Amino acid sequence: MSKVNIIKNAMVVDVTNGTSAKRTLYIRDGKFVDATEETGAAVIDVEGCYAAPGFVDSHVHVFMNHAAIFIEADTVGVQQGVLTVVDAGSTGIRDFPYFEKEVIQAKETDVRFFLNIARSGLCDGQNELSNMDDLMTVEELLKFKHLHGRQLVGLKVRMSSSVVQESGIKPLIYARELSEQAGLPLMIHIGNAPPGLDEILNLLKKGDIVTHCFHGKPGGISDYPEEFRSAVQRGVHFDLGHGAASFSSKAMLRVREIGFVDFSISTDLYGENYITPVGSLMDTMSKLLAMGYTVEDLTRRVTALPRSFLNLPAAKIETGQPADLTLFRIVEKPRELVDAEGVRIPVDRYFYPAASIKQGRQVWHDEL
Amino acid sequence: MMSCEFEMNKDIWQIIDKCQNPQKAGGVIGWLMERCQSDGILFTDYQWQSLSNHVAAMVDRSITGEVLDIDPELFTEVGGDSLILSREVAERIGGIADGEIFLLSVHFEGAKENSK
Repeated sequence: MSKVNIIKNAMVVDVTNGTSAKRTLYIRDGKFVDATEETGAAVIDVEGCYAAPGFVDSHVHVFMNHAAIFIEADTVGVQQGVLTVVDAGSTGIRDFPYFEKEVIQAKETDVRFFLNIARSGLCDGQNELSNMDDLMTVEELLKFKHLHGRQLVGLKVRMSSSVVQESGIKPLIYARELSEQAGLPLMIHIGNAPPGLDEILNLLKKGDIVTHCFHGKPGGISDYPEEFRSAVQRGVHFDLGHGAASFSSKAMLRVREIGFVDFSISTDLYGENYITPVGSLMDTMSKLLAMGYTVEDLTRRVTALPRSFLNLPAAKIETGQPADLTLFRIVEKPRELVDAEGVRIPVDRYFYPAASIKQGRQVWHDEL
Repeated sequence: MMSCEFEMNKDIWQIIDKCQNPQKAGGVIGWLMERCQSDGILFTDYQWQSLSNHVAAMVDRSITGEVLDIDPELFTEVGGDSLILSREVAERIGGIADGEIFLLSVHFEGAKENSK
């Protein structure tokens, strides 16, 4: 049995109760253990840092050098305090062997993925749903799931006019069939119509995830209050998916007016939106911190909530559980952030990553 | 500073959060931002904050039923566009007395002065 590692003075976030309390954490063999008095333990003092279960970014694009849009996984993963990233449809079945070898197996960050229903994913451009013949068959999907299903969390369908072109709503009707046959949820990207959002929402079922839920383009959620409320009631999930053009603080206000939805926070990060407007998962959270959401609630929206949406096991900071932690600070300093429409969001404090700890091992740290 | 690029600053969020129905106040303010931006109505930060305050107060009054005693005669100079926009805001909130529509229109009239 190896020596115990001790992390002391961590403000541990309890996302269930929405509280934080200073604790000492004991880790041995990659798991949290009970407090111990043994000598020779390695101690790190993280005074001033919060500790939370590993952050999850449920929408990124990390199929480097293959897809039309991408960023390196660890750059937006462990190096920003995000232990798990979920690639949202960069790969289809055709290019998956490269995705597995060059991304899933090669990166420190835990990479999960939504499989694009188009065989080529985003590797042949960004209108992947314009030709119905390019979509995988049920047989292809079932075989894929059997062979490569370990990191697979669902199917990605990008339902906006530039992606589907003449196919209209048909790719989603087809995706519904794939979803039923394979028992996998859909992640639906919403954007410019057609197809109309009413038509899209009415096809969604419990467990599906709508990403870009606060986009500010015409025909957004606030234009379809009945369909939105009905989808929420059926158990359809909603996700922020910031991106270059998909997080409007104005649209968010308008959606909040028509009904309550417990949304997860994700970035849709890739090279072109990395510096601005998105920044990082923590920058995205900081924008909502300025809007009055609490540190604990925002932490829940990148931990427990996406884990439940993605059917990942719950992550808890308690004895016997894997010691996966995101350490972060709340820096009390003014900064100006923007949403995807360029609306300025001045903040007077913000989330800043301090370290990523995977099974007790510090895989990245800022300065501790 | 004058701009039609609105800022989502702390003051606006506090105004929204303090309202008895923050969802409604936020929704109307978000809608107004979009509308004024597309109509090219320019506000100073102070004017925008004071308009947001007024909108939130109207939402509160729509809940409590409080009616301000306002004489429409005082607002004969107000332009038609400002009154139309004002009426739209009142309709989105619901349960707003006519006098309040005149009072709200002064904000839009003030913003119009900026553009001149």
